[in-house]
Formats: sequence, C-alpha cells, structure tokens
Amino acid sequence: MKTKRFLVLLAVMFLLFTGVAAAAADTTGESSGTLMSDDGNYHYYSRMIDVTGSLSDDERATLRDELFDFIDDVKIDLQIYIIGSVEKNGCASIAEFAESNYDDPKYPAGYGADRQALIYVYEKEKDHSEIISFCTADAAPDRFEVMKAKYYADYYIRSGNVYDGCRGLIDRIRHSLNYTHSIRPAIRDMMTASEFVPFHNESVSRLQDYSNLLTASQQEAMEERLQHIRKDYQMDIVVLTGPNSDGKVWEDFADDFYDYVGFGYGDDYDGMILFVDMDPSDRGYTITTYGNRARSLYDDKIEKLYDEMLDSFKEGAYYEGISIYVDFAVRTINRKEPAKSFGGIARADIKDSTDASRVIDEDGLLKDSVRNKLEKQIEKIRKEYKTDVLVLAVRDTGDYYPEDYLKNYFRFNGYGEGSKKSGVGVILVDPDTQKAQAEVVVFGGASGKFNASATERLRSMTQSALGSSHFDSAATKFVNKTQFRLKWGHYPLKTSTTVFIFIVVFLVVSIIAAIKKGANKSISKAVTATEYVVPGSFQISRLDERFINSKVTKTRKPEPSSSRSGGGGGGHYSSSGRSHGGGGGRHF
Amino acid sequence: MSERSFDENGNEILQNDGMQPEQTQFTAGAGTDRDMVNLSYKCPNCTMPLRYDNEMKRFVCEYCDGSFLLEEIKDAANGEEGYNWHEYKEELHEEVLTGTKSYVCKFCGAEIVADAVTSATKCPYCGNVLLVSESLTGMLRPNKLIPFEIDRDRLRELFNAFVKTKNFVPKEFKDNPVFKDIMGVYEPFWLYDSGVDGSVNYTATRVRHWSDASYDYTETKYYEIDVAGQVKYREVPADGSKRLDDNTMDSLEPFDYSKMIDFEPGYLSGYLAERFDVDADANLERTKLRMWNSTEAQFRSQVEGYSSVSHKSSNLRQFDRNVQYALFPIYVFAIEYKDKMYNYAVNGQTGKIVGELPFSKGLYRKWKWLRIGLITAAAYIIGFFLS
Repeated sequence: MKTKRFLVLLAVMFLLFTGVAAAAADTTGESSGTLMSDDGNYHYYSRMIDVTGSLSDDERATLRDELFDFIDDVKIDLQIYIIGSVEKNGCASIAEFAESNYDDPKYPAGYGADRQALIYVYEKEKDHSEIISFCTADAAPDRFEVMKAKYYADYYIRSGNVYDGCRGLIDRIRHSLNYTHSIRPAIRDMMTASEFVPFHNESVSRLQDYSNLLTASQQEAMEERLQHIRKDYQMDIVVLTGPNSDGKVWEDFADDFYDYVGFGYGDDYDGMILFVDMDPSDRGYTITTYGNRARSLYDDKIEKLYDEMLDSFKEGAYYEGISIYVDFAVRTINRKEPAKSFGGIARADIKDSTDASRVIDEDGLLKDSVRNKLEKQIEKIRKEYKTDVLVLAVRDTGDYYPEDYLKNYFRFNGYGEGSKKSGVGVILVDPDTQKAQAEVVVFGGASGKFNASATERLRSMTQSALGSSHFDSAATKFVNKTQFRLKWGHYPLKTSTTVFIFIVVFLVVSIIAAIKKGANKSISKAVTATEYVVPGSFQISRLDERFINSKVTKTRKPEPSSSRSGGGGGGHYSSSGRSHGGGGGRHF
Repeated sequence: MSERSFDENGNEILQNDGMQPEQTQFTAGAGTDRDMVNLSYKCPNCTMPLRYDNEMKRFVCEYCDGSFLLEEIKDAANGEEGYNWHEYKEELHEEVLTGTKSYVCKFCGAEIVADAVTSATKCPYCGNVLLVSESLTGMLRPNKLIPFEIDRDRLRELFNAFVKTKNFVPKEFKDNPVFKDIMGVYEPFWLYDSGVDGSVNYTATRVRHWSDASYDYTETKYYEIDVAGQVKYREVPADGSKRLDDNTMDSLEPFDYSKMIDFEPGYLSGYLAERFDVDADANLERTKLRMWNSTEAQFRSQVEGYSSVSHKSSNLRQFDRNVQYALFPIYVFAIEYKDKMYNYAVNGQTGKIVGELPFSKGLYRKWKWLRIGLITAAAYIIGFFLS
C-alpha cells in the first residue's frame, strides 16, 4: 500500500513539475494520475485539494494520507476542496462543481462499483460550503452526522484553521460510519474551544430538519416563513430537528449549533432556536435564545409555550407544534413592541367612548338578552364604582395575543373611566370550539382594586365558566365577579373551597368531640406495675447484640420529569462561551 | 321495704328492717386470749366505745368528748396489745374478732364484718339489707390497713369537682345528684411482693440510606438483642373481693403507702369491712401480668440506637414472692338518674372517684355543631378577606 502511495506521490510531483496538471485550472492543482488501489476499488490520487494555499505541504500530505485511510476504512471516497469560488471553475453551484469532479474522466471519483463518494467544497470567497453525497442510500452516512461535521469544519476553516477543520471533518464522518474509530481528543476538544468568534451565516436554511419531521411542502413553507420573520422582525427564528443531541444536553447542543452555524440577527445575534431531539431514549424539545431582545421574548411565557406545543408533538403533528413556536415568537414580538395603531385607529385619532357599547360581540357569540342585561349592569357599575368594564367576544385575534388585542381595543377605542382611564376588560376568544380562551386586563386606577392575583383569579373564574364555548356564562360571571370585587374588595370563596373548609372543620371537631367524650371514661384495667418497682432494684446483667444479616435494596432514581427545569429566568453558556437564555423543555 | 330516713346531718339512717344483729360482747382493750380480737377501743376516761375521726386522726369519744392517739389508748389498757394475727397459710389464719358482727348478703353473697355498735346495715355492694350470719363469726386478720382520710361529708364536694371536669354530662345530673347508699368499706386487697428476673429477646434493625447518580440504596442490618436482668416489686395491689369490679379497683390506684399502717382493728370503727373471697393465688396471674409488662418495658428501655425494635420472646420468672393481706378504704355510692343507677367508687384516702357518667347526646350534638358552625363561618370570613 505504501509503495503505491509513494508511486502516486511521484506521479503527482511529475505532473506538477511538467505543468500538465495546471491545465485543469485551479481545481486540478493537486490531481494525480489514475493508478488503482490494491483492491481495485478506487483510483489513487490526492483527495485533499487546496488551491487557496491555506495548508502547508506537510499538512496537505497528512490530510491526503488520512483521506486514504478514511476510504480504506469506510469504503467511501471523501474528497475535500478548498477553493476560491465555483464560478472561477466554470460552475454555477457547488453541486455542479462536485458533479464535474465526480465525473472527471481523468480522475474518476468514488469507491467500488457503486462509486460511493462524498465531496466537501468550501468557497473561501463566499464563506460557504456544502457536502455533496454520491452515495447509495444504504452506504450513505447519516446526514445529521455529516451536517455536524460540516458545520464544525466550516467554522474552523472560516477562522483560518483549515488543517484542523479538515481533520475534524474526516474524523467526525469516519466516526459516524465506524464507531470503533474514535474522534481524536484534540479534534473533540477543538469543538469546545472558547475562542469562538461569532459570525453571520445568512445563506443557511433556518429550518434544519434532519429528522424529516416535515413533508417537503411543509419544509418549504416553514423555511419561507422563517426567512420572512428574519427580514420583517430582525430576529432569527431557527428550527433544528435531529436524531440525537451529540451526547450533550439539549440546551448545549442547540446553543452550539446556533453559534457554529452562524445564526442570529444583527450585532446582538438576536434569535432563538427550537431543537427537537428525536432520540428514542430522550425524545423532546427545548428552546434557547441569544441576545437580550430574544431572551426577553422567551422569558415571558415559555412554560406555557412548552405546554401548548406538547400535544402536537405527542400526536406527531410536528408542523403544528413548530408553528405554535413560531406564532409565539411573532406574537411576543408584537406584544413587546407596542402598536402605533390598531384596527385602523391611530393614537392621535382615539375618541371618547362614554356612550359606546361595553359588550362587543361582532361575531355573534353572545345572546342578545345576555348582552343587553350586561350592558345595563355595566352602566350601573360605571356609575357606582367609577370603573369601566369591557367585554370583548371575538373568534380570532390575528397575530395578537388575546390580552394584547384586548389592551389595544380598550385603549384605541377610548374606554376607561376618569383621567386614568380605569377599567377592567375581558376578552373571550373562540379560535375553535375546543380551546376557547379568556384573558382579563386591568387598566389605569382599577389596578388598585385588582392586583395581579385578583386579576388572575378573575381570569380563572371566567375561563372556568367559559369551558369549551359558554360565552354567555363566562361574560355574566366576569361582570358579576367584577362587581362583587369592586363592592367588597374581595371575591366570594369558591363553593369547593367552602365545602373543603366545612369538611376539614367537621372532621377536626368530630375528632375533638370524640376525644372529649372518651375523656369521661374513668375506669380502666391496670396493665403495668411500674409505680411499685423497688427503687434501685432494676439491674441489667446482660445486653448482647448479635448481627444476623444485612440486605441492600436499590431503586432507580426517578427519571427527570417530562418538564426539564430551566425556563427563562436563568442563562447558560454554550461551548463557544457565549451566554444563551432559555432551556428547559418537554419530553414527548 | 322500710322507709328511708335521714339524720340531722342529712346522712341516711340505715334501718334494721326487723333484723337484729348478733349481740357480741364488746370489751375494751385487748383480751388475754390472743385469738380474740377486739374491733373497737374503750374510752380511757369513760369506757364508752371510741370512734376514729378521719380529720383529727384521733380516736374520739362521743360521750365525754375525749380524743386519744392509739398509743394513749394502748397505754391506758396497761400495755396489753394482744392483737396478733396468725399468718395467712403460714402467717395468717382466721380468728374470731371480739366485738364484731358478721353479716351475709342474701342477694350478692358478700360477707361483711361490722363493729358491734352498728345496729343494722345494708350491703355496700348491692344495697340490700344484710342478714345476720350465724355461721361466720369473724374475719381474717389483715397485715396492713390504710385508714380513711376522706370524710363522708366531703364526698359531695369531691363528686362535684369530679363531674365538673367531665364533658357532655347532663346538667341536672351535675347540679342535683341524688346520692344513694353511701358506704365506707374497708376493701380487702392482696399486696404482692416479688422479684422478676430473666431475659427478653428482641429483633432490631439499623437502616442506612445513600445514593449514587442512578440509584437510591437502602441497607438494612438485622440484629438479635438479648437483655437479661432483674427488678423487684413491692406491694402490688389486687382486689380480694368479687363484689367490686377489678378494673374499678385498679382505677382507684394509687394509694399512698407511706400512710399504710400495721392492721389495728380499731380503725374499722364506724365502717364496714369485707371478708376476702378471692384468695391470693387466684389473683397471682393478674398481678404477675402487670409485673411482666413493666419488666419488659424496663428491659426495652435499654435497647437504644436502632431503627426499629420488635419484641421476640420473653423468659421471665418470679422469685422472693410474698403476699400480704390489707384493707384499703373505699367509699361506694350510687346516683340515680333517669331510672338508671350510676355506681361510683371513691378512694377513701385520696378522694379519687371512678365510675360511669350519664352521657347527654343533646349536649354532645350542641357542642359539636355549634363549633362546626362557628369555625366554618370564621374560616370562611378569613378566607374571604384573604382571597
């Protein structure tokens, strides 16, 4: 084998010397002849092509040999091209460039009869790379593994360390195909170095669906939406699915992916990434963020978001689950950045609405009788307590969170009593009849009577009455409880709480009564004679302990609950050393 | 049935019902015959019978108002003591008490000894009129006696204090209890001395917990513990009469043994005394069980430092056994309430009262529901303002 390689080297040197190879423009600078390997499965010529001069001779020679070892080991021809650009080679794309080299009659690529091959091409001028696979399906390495190898290699080549980038690429792909081949510690450690320099990678897809959870059309639609959000909201919303988390916890893997691929918008690299891990033993998802803007969005209702996504993921409705995440991002952005207008009403055009209706039901979700009754009741409340009450029943709130919709509706339509525009509003939303939702917002001076817990309680009571779609009950309960609260400063206790109190008191008092009754008993049999012991007569003559046996039982610790801790409050650091937010997640 | 009558102090006067007690020669001081025992003392001044006064702790003469300590009476009787009981089995034997009358209750079978001045009496246990016994002429001489310290007149006060602390007792019962048949009785008790030795076996465990990354571990080590030793008991009492319930007599404990004296018949003056009808052997098992339990508890207290200890077996025996015969002061009486008799026993030394009390369901319900209502309302109001 070594003799053959030596002959190849001689041939290469000869060709270089004679200038024949130069005819193949900048891509053929290191191509050699067509000597065959010992087993006749591939042609001998160097697979390490660097026309940018980034490698020293020794480094190039080492990588060339490593690529031969790779081919012998995993039976796939791996070729690495570090070039200026594909256009300079007369190609329109990396794929075309790879194909032209793959089919070059002078230097045929591929291993064996099926000509298994992988061609990695890095365009230095564009800071862009791709790996083109010419493998049959049964021989191809896992594309998720290839992706990880590629992005790590990209990062190091981009940062000028072409040698380590290439070694990492070879090592990682080889490891994914032959697990007996370990990733060398130097390569592995290289990936957790702290000298990370962030960069923007605008050309990469924001949807990285390596587990094929979406159909082709869904992938296309989702990618289009993510790109649209990136442009419109200056926020990178990324989705990554994969078969594992590379031995890391979800958050760390998601963070590393985000950093090394080059996601993030603007100077702060704002963005968030949803990572869906399809590892059967640890299937779940997490969301992490980068940049303060994204983190503030994330922190808001992340646990609720995780819960909302869970059913879809459990049911395998991945597109819906991912859409909930994307919707969340869009709505939160809308929420954090107050509207300048709403429903065609600009701030400057807000009018007084003293005589306007307080029960808004454009979609006909309430009965007329209920609406009329509530209008009268609200009128009375406004007079007595100087607090406005708004009931808003709608089918859909568009891109707004329901409570944001209510806030905007209340403000832009001039509701509220007094100079502080005090009031309490409820929005009853019926996006579909299974998930009717109630949200309550307190405005102006009314917050003195409705603190956070009181507001949540009012929302909870209203939501409870709403159920799936009982709009009349919910609206009535909201107005009644609001009136009670304004009158008494408290809500009446729940019936269940009252019953609970009664049961507890009944049990406790019954026990005490039974004890008091039992205390009347004055006659009992004497069973001991302790008081007749002669003082000092108690003597112990022997106290022996004899060990019999021992038994050890072990119980497996409970698995971490399906809800991973984390949430939005704290931050964490990726292997690049950058501070990310988020984490936690759900198993499904 | 004869009519009931009361003396000027309100005490019920017991009627003879036509039955004449046996007339017995009453002799002051001790006779020369050691088998003859006088139940009462003569006044050194006027030779009339003396009565022991619980409060004064002296013998008093109601004829010349003299009062005497026992030593003074004995001195007056020329130092002749002669009240010597024979041993029970070895130490005691039955003998005729001079100056006593013995009665037998035809209803409950109680054998009662009273002093000769008692004109007639009722059975303290069943309340029926006692018949004079012609065959029984005396009683067994006890070794010990605890004199009455509680006067009969204080019983109402003690009972009021007793019933005041009890719950759900009908108000009319509390306020106006009608006492019936108050009797002061010297109740026969056996006092057992015994040492207990032997060993007790226990099974014990020590449990240790630790964890690693994946598992929680629990190690349980099992031990057999053997404790041996001894403990001595003195004068464990057991009721020597069938008439009063054993548990009731247990409940009257404790008696203050520091005030227990060697038996002197004169203390029986004015009271009834029952002859034992449960002998010492019959009570042995009951008393032994009390000693066993206490011994095991003492041994168990030495087994410390284990996660759990369970009793496995005991091998105990008694030694140095001895028994004495004693008379303890008991009052018995009954209170009738709504056609039911509620019987009570009183420790004549300490005043401790035991017995069943009537239970008012109305008071019980009222107490319970009033509190349920009030507390529920209070909790609701608190919850309302905290919400």
